[in-house]
Amino acid sequence: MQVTFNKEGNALVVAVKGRLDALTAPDFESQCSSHIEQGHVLLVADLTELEYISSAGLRSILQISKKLKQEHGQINFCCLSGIIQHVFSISGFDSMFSFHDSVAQALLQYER
Amino acid sequence: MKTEVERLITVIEEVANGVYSNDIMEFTKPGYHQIMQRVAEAVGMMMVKVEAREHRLEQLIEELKNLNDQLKNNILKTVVTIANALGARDNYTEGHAVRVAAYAVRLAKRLGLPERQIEHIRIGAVLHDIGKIGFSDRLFSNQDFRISDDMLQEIRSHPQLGINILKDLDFLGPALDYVHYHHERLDGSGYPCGLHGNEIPLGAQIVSIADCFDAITTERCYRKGRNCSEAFSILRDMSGTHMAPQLVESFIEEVEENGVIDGSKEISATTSDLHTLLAEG
Repeated sequence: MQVTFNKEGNALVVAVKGRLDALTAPDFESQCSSHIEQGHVLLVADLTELEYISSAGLRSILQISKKLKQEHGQINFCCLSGIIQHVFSISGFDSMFSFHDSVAQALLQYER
Repeated sequence: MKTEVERLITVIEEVANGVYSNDIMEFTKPGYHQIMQRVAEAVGMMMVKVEAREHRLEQLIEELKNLNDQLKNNILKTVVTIANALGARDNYTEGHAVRVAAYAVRLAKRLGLPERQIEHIRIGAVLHDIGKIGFSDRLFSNQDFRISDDMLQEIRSHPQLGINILKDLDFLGPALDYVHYHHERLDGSGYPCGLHGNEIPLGAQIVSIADCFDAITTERCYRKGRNCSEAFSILRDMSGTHMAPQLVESFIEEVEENGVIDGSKEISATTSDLHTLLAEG
């Protein structure tokens, strides 16, 4: 798994590539956490290149979301493939977060 | 393999007991038997699903709390607006309603009543005289202390008039009773229903004491306001016959400890003053 962070206006775009599972999720969570601690509390998760997400990956997202909540921040998602969308849907995450078709659209949510 | 299975079962039991952690995810890593990985992933998914739902519920509860606060605030604004309608006819009544609410809330808090009941007492007290809006002009403009029988009857009709006005506002709940019964007396000599003792709701008894105290201490066109010790002595005369002694004593203690509300400030109370005083009360 690879994670890259790009600042776009008042938001931070987090692009995840590869697999988010028990092996990689702790690293993903700690990288996001340190950015949140630096004051980046509006996140856009760009999942274009995410190939697989397991329960461990979902849990890391939930933990990040809880942390953001404490900091009055937010995370939204964009560019989910069919399989990833399916996992989000069966885990009930689809009713907790907002989803967008592109990074630009996801960023718009924070500009309003 | 056997100890690994036993460890997995222990972790699953922990999840079943509501202990959520990353322990279950360990068994989804390479190196474990494929069946154990599948079981662990399935249980892990269930766990995350439950955790996500709990988190969502917490969020919803928070949203509901915020909406409820907004709603309460709007109710209070509505009530103050209604009270202001009476204030437009009679300056004394406007300041009086707000002061009575502040005194009543102070007594209710001193008695340790639940927050919800205190809110109803606050609202009942602000509205207690709203029925006077139906009074004829002669009662508002009267400079003469002599009151005829039919004027007395008109004055005594105000709790019922108030209820007639407010009865469809369901959200007022018990506050309606406090408006209705704030002139009832323990010995049954009050109006409009002649209720006795505990038939009179506690909130109405509290509003009644606050009402009397403010009426005694406020200057009116036909007489000067009395000082606190005179007012306490009048309340004590009414104690036992008109008012519950323990309520009268608690009220007196409250005023002795925390003082009277500055009447001159509130007589011409504007809406914002009303809000401030209501919030402080």
